[in-house]
Amino acid sequence: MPATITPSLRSALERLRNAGAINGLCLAWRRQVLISLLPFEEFRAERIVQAVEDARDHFSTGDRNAQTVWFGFEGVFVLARFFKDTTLVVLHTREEDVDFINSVAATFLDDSQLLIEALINPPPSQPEGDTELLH
Amino acid sequence: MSAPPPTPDTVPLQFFFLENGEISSEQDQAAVDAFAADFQGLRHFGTKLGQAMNLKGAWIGAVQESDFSVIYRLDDTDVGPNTTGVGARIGEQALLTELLESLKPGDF
Repeated sequence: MPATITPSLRSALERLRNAGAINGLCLAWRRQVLISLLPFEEFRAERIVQAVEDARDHFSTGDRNAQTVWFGFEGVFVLARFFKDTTLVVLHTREEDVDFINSVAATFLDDSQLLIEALINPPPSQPEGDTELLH
Repeated sequence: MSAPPPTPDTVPLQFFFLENGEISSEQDQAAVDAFAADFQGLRHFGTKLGQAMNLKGAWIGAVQESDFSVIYRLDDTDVGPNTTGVGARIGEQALLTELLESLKPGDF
């Protein structure tokens, strides 16, 4: 009998964090933090998500549709990738990694839509522990 | 018969120079205005994002769309109101590293 595989968004994100010069990740749905692996307090994670979502709204008016915003600060870069109602924020340290991380983030969001949907709208039979929003 | 005005998906690679709070370019005024609007937006949200992380403003900012990309890079990571820098925009989903590379002095 095949083993039951319990997919976990958190473990997928943690694998991403270990992929290279990434030092923080945050998955959000409609401005709501679902999982934060950022090296900041929760309120800072929420502010970061609000800021990138505001940027997304600003650059998605009319015919425009921002897929990615990217900012460089002293010592750290912040990339936010948008897909449908979800956003993945990635903190990374190497400028030259940006396109690779952007591609990985796009793939992650595309592949994770069913898991995110299950997290947002858990089926009635699903145990409560699997539906809790993780921070 | 004159050519139609460029639409966002036909914008060639264009460069813009940032100095003392002003933007200059060889492009026409409409292109400068369009870049200026995006630059101001990026600076605004970069500052907001920096405040969320207790950092100064962003010295690099970029937006990537399916058919359009815009980027700026300031000369100093210690961002101030009169910092100089360079920006670019292009009517395609360009790689951000390639756009950054194009902003190096001597490439335009």
